[in-house]
Amino acid sequence: MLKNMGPFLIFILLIACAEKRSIRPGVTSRSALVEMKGEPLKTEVVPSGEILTYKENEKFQISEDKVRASFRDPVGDERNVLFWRHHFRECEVKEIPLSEDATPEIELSCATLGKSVVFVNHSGKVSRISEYEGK
Amino acid sequence: MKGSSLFIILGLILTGLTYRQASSPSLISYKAENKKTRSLASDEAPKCMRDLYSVETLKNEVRELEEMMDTNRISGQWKHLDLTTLPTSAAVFLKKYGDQLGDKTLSQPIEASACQDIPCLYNALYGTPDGIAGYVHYLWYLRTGSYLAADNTAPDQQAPTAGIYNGKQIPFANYLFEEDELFGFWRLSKLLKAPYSTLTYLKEVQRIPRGEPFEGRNAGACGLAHSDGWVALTDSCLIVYPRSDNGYLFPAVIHELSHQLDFEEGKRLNDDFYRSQMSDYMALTGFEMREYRETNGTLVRQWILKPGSRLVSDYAKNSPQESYAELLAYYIVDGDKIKTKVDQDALNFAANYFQGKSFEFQAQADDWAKKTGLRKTNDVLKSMLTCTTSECMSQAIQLLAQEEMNRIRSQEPDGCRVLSNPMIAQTLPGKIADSLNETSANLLFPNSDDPGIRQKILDNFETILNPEVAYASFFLCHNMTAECYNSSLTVRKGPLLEEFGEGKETLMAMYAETYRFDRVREEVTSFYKSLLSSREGIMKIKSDELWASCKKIPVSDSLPPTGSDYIVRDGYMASSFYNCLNRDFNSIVESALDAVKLREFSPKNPEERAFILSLMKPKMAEIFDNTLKSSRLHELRYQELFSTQHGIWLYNTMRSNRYWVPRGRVDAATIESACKSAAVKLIGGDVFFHLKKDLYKDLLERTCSGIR
Repeated sequence: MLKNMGPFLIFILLIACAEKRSIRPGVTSRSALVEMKGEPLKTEVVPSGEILTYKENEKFQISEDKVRASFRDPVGDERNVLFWRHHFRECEVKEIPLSEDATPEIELSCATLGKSVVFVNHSGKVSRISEYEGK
Repeated sequence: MKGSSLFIILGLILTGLTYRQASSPSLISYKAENKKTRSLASDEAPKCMRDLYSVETLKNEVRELEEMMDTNRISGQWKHLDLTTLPTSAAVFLKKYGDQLGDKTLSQPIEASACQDIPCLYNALYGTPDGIAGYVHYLWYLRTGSYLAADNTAPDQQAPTAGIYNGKQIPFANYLFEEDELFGFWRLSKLLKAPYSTLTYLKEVQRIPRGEPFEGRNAGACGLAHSDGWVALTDSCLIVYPRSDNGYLFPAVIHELSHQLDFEEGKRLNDDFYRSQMSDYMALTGFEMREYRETNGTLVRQWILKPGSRLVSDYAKNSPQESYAELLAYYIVDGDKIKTKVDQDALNFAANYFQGKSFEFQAQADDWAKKTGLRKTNDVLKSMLTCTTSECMSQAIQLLAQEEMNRIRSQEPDGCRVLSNPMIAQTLPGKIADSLNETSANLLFPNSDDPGIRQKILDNFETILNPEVAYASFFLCHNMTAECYNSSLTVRKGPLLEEFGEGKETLMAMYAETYRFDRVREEVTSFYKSLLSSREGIMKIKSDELWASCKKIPVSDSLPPTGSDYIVRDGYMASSFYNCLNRDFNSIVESALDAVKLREFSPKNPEERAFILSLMKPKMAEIFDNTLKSSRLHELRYQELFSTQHGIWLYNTMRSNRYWVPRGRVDAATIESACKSAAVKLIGGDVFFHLKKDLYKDLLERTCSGIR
């Protein structure tokens, strides 16, 4: 019985490992982050915590010893705002202007998924992806 | 960098070796062949450019530019005007911007049935028949391709109707530029060369009504630039002294245009983001992005500046975009002061946009002197042939130097500003004469054993100045740098000048000066933009064909949207449709290119075709954007119709047949949500350009609200 379940158990184990390796805002601790990603290239204090910067401009915000948010650059089709409108299509998305410029950056946010992207209005292109504690 | 230059040169040598056999003439060279003379500019009147600001001067400038941009006749009608009778640029202007002109509060925004040209239309709005305003507006269009607005609809105004700003009814005249402002725009149109004169996405420069601040914005700003292609200016950005080369208008307008350049350079180099946010520029200026979430989850993105960063002004400290716009504006307008404010790296960055040109007064004067010899080679040669004594030659040189001084005063936008410095005014004639003497020495001395060669140069002068090599080099390097272009000129033109003995080097330098990268870029880009505008109808047909074929594919979002040749900048599009557009985007642009012709000639040279394609792609994307806009309106209208005709049916259906109700104990919100999910499926018709649940949001709300 167990012998037959071998591949299945390995599969479960792999999923569990993958799950353990992912960085989840609100769950992953600072030490777990450093264990997974190594020592940051730079740390910076911000009003609501501390920012750890890694290569390729990947950043993690820490407060009360937990990762609260992450930021990274988009790759491939992730650069396209339309990609995210599709990705978020089951969400109640919010579009939040981040400045008063004529062409402001906009945050397109899906709280249910705890994910948002930043794009320059009318450009159709995403500059940043952020994950945070979802609802 | 050195390695890449080597590759460029090697590549050019290889292409250059095959150039004489393989290349076919470009469309613009057919046009150039018909030109009687190439004006190398000379004016004997010792006046400043501002003193020549008159209807007569501007009329001549219009005529010259219209002639240069005349390609194919355009069919159609604009009000009383038969477009086929107008120069291409005038017909294109009317097709593109004609309906924007005028007072939109009136049933007939413009009454100009007696007008036969564009300046007349503008002048009708100003109420000054044959006034100067119409010529300035039209010259701005001819030189930049954008519309210097004379209408009462601001691009981002809050009121849905024209003529209302900041909640007030504004007289039409308050949207029009004042006399001194118009002079400023004329001067700017002559001052700004490529890349400002070749902006692809800039569509409109609009005056905000006199006396009004921007609606709903921080009172501090006097100008706005939007990535959608418009610039808006309030009074404080338009301050200029009467017929003066000084005033805040100059840096302010260049600042806003530099934002447009930032968008465009970003599109080209930075995957659609601002050029100023690329790492090299950020490192140069010392900007860093600080991003974090506040405890309530709000995203904060702030630019912070490293201590010790040297920027042009306090305003430049706001962001890399503002710093970029300030740097370029003051680099052009205040070349002497800027070098005391920023580091050399920043100056070099700015200089790269102008082929290394500095706008410092002394540097500009030295540059004019240096280039005189090259610009006037033809005249020097003629004098050499007619003079038999050194006194005669010396007098001829003095005369040419004086002519050049006059040209600088009357035709260089900065001429009189620079010459207002007494030291420069005193030394420049001598420097110009030295430059002319140097040219004559270069042409005379190496060939002193063969005086016939000078006659040969003169006899072949028009052939030597044939622009085809310059055009071909530009096509090859249009997406690269002046360095690539200059290397290509040397590789391609050099062998053609061998027969002129040791004089070839002077001739090569003269050729490079006559066909400087920025000049050729401006000329070629204007020509092909005009040509493409006359062929926009074909692009629209190709676009419509593709949209129709993509609509035949069943609507589906099962695959993610892929591809970026065409980007949907706002809102939604079904991925099946988006992917179809992107799959065939390049092929339809190519097929539209096959239909581009100048008279019976079509572009055959691959490098020329590549350049035309680079202009056609944004144009095709613009046509797609417009089609998308109208398609969305169509879906909205269908939605309104459906809601009116079938709203009650949907309401009753959802209540009479409860198959959609979730099992078990669920709350009211879950029931409403399930109702909406089921109801949206009952709504007929394919929706390509909205999420169906968003398009029918109100109807679904009415249908499912309060359902139990």
